[in-house]
Amino acid sequence: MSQGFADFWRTIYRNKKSFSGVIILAVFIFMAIFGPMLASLDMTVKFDNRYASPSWSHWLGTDYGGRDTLLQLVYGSRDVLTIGLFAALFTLVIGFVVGAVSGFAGGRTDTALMFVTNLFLTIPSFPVLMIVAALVQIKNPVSFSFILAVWSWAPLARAVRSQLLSLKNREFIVACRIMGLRMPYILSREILPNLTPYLAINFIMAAQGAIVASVGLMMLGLAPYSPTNWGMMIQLAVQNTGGIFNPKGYIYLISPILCLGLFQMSCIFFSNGLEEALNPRLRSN
Amino acid sequence: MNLLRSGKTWATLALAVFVAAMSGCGASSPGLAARIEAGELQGAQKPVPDDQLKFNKEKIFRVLGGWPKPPLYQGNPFGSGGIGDTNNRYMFEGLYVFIRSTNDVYNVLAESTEDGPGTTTVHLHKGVKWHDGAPFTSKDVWAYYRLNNGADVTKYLSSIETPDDYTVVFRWLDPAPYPELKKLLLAQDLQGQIPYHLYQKYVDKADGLLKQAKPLPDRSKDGPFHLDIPDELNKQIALNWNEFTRSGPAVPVGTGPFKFEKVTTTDMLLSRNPDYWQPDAVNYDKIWIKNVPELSAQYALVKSGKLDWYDGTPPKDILESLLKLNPDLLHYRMYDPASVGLMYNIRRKPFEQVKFRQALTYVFEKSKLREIGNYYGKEYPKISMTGIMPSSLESELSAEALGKMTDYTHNPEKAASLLQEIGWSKGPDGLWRDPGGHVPSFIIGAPNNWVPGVNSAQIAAEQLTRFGIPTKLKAVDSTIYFANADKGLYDMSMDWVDVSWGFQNPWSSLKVVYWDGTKKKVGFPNVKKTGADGSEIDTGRLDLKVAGIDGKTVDVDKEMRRFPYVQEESERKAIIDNLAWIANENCWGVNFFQNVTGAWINTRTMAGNYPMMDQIVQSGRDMPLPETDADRLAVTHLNHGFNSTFMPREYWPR
Amino acid sequence: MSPRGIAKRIGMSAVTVLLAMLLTFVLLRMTPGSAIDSWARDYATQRGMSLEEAYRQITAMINYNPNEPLLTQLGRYLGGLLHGNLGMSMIYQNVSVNEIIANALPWTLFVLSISLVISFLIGINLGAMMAFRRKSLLDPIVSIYAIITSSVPNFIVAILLLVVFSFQFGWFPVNGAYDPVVEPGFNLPFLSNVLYHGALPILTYVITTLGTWALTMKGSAVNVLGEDYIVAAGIRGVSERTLMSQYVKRNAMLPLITTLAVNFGFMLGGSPLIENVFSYPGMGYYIGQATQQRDYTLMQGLLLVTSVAVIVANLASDLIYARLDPRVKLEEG
Repeated sequence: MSQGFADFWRTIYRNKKSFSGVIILAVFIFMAIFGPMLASLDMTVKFDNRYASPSWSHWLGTDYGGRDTLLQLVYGSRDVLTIGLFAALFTLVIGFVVGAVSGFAGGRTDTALMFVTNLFLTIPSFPVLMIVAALVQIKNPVSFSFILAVWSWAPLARAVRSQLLSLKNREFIVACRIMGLRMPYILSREILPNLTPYLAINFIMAAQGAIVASVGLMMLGLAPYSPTNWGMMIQLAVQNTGGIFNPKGYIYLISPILCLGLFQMSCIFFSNGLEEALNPRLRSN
Repeated sequence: MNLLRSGKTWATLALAVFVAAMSGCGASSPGLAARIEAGELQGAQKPVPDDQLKFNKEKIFRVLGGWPKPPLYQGNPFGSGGIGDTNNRYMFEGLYVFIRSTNDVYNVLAESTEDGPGTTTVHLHKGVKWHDGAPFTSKDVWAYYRLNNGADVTKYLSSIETPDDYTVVFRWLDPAPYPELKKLLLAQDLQGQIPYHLYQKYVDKADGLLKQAKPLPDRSKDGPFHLDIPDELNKQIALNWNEFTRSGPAVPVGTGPFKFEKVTTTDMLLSRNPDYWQPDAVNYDKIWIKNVPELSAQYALVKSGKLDWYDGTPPKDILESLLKLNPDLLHYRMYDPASVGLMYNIRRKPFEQVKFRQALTYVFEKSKLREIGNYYGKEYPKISMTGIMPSSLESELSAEALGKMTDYTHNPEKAASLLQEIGWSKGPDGLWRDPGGHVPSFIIGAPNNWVPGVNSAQIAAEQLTRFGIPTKLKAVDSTIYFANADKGLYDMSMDWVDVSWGFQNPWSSLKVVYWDGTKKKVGFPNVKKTGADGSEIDTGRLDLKVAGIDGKTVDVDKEMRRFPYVQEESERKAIIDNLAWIANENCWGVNFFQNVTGAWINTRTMAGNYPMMDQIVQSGRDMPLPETDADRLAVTHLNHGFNSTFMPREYWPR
Repeated sequence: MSPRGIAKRIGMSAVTVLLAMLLTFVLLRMTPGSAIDSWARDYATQRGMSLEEAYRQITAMINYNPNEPLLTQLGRYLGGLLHGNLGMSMIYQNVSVNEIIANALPWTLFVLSISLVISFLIGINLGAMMAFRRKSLLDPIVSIYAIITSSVPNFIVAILLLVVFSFQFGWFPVNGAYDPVVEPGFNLPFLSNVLYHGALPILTYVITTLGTWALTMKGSAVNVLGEDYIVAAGIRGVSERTLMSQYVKRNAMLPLITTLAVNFGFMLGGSPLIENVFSYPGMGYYIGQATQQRDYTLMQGLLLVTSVAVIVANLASDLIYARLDPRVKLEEG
């Protein structure tokens, strides 16, 4: 196991792209954990100082109320990363397990699981979220992520299932089955590595989607309004600059978008190495 | 790698295009400032003869509006969803029109008015026709009120008589509202909306039902035409109204200068009414209304000069950028009769304590709330919430009353000492603790679709938190927010305060505080009575007895009931002084800032006597709030979509 | 795949739709906020009466009795459904839900299907190429393109396109689905007008979704590339072109077909992006309107359409999938 782990890291390290991905990701995580301790964010309005250009005191300039953009991004990163990563994780786990079991087991299990999946695809989210909002107040990011994931796992489950239908009849899986290996083993040891590149992309997209969708939950009143959430920052920037109608606001508008994009890019680059680490044939290619 | 190359080209092209797009519209004709400096706009302007039209040859007035999209669209303005607020004024008229901000009343369908003892006699213009050709007569005015018997004014009337086709007599109850209020009550309705010949069935039915009701015994209760309408009858009246709203013609029928021509989901076309009774007052052949909900798309339309007139105030920098990009644009500001504000929920502890409410009020720095909520708004740091539009405080209140009002200007020391007075203390962590040693955590609620409210409430929450009272904002879906806030689910709730959307007089804004929206959000108690079975019944009537300006206890509900009938102006002034002082003193809410809204003219396509012409160049086409009455009137006319004038008659195609 | 298997699938889908419909029906009525509430607020302002008075009158007027047992309401709804009748709108009492859907659905369907097909086709081709030429510049370029288009709110893309192509160059119309001066009908001027008006909304969709398709396709294709038969084919000397189009692309796009079906169903609910920025008519406006007003009959009708679309699209993808991939056998279970 430790050998495999070292191997894995070596592959990541050798791949320039994925190594840079890891570095950026590490910076983000460092920022989320220690950022708020290193600098304090002052959200007091200083209107005359709005849309300031980047400078030594404001590295990314200021927002529509003259507050430091970078510090807001740093402060927001903890919740945003937690929400993004957890929501994506929940989505992936539920989606993969339901889809894989359904596709692999077939028969009644498949019928039942797909029935539930299809229901989740068709039930409108608005009434449910409104009902939930009336009953509970979400305070921690993990339960927040869970609610987001509830609405996003179903499409993935279907996609995974359709891959399984094809995979399970391949020689190596058939061989496993003949050898009498049990389903959890086959799914985790044989199927999962095969689907990694595909799942990785889905993970990244789910994280991104969750960050954007969290704004929607806040605006329904399901969670307290947080102006430093990156998704909310983008929304506020668009609202205050009209998107493209205020040239002074471009840097402010672009900053959270860039931050989100950078986070996504680091994930994509990292997954690039992941593909090679898990799929040795690609290395020789 | 073909793709790579094309990708780069595309990016370069996109960038070039973007830069070109943002660098102005390459105006081929001189902008407004250049025209004024060239002396083109000196003296009174006159409509441009047809053969000299250069920029709007088709004589189309292009604006924005909204309406229920087909197949939901129907022609009855009272039907579900209406026909679109802003489109009302082009097609429909009332007896009068009042000008928001001045409360001046002008004749429209009324030619003249006489006030007799207990009556108001209106002589109608002759020769006014509905869009389908039928004449507009006194019967139509009568029909309007018999059918639409929930209209405010019917509470003060005993009957409406029509001695002949062109005379309407409104008979007032005794005592009648004071003269100015009478006028405004009639002027706020659009009486030319229910053509009797189209809706006879429903009007007669409603009239018959009303005739079945007995008069009320006294003036302690209100009813249409002073009638006591039992529940069963009321139900029949409502059902008849419902039938009426469902029966409308497919297209609107009014008396106004423009007739309905066509509607799609995105566009509405109105064309000039050839039979209009004031043919000289119409300068446009068509009105083209676009339905564009997205603000940025609206800005794009404004910027590119695709609209003649636009209503709205974007954030400061967008506004300035639009003016810069299009040299033909001219922007005017005017007061909204409403303020963005916060209300304390006195049903929740510790908000029932006036000192606590006052302490929080001292914490707010209103200039910052305004800068983020709406830069162009105007804050009044001294008041909490008075029930009077802040911009008219000085004219409505006596100097004496104003002098006696508590001054709530930002003062953290004062806030701290008030908190200490009621047993609160500040911990070493900078957080305040209640007398029980507990650190509170409060929620401000705001409707999610109200941008100025959400944005300023967020700053308010931050200011309280910074002061040491942890507070969070909750932006709640607007479909449930108001019901929740009325039930008292939030510690503090956002809404328009000191507001009178109709005519702007203290009576209508005080009604909001003590009887309507503010009352529900603050949570004033109601008079309870014991029912026959011993259960408690909420009468819905305000139960608020507080110390007045002279120290004597005031029954607020009683004062409010008395108000409209007080004929003596000085006595009314005393009531206003007292009720406004009480509201400010008890600090049930905070007026963050009075809203200011804007109107845009595209001077390339629309000509006329632009208000405050001499200030256009020096203000860079971003006009300041008007100072004089004449200017205020002219600017208010620009707000034609709202309850005031039909503007296009004062402007014409260029 | 036996006819019996297909029949079973269809049966299962029907049951799903039925259950989704029931759940929607119940959930809507449990949602906080009522039709009477929002209507009474408008009504009180419009007629200048107190909220209490407005409540009483609205309760008498509205096409809905909140005290009627759920089962009775449901019975009536189902009874109407059997005749293909979704009922009348609760708020717009003269208009049937069928009529509203007939007005909205074609527009959404039109823009949606064209843009989905275009972005899917371009996306999978790009994705396959990215996987095939891992070391080329194509991969980072498309990746970055995908990152940008998925991070930039797509509404900004829409505004940019609108400002540049409609306002600056005047190449495309400003808003709407067709020119109000053109008479709707099945004729060439009208159809070309519709296509002309649909161009920018379609372009926006394609630009903003293309990257995600490409990335997902790449993820799937990388997987396929590792398969023995691909490697073997490469060794056998099968040309790159054939290898890519016949082997890699065909196999790698299979899971994406499922995603395509799901997306199709989702997007049928209308897109605020297109409908707001381009003021394009469609399902979204009516769903928004019905939700605001808690118009239960209209909401459940519109949501039924989207549920049916999701389920039918999924069913279709299952069947197509089995046909495209010989290794997949539809389970008879």
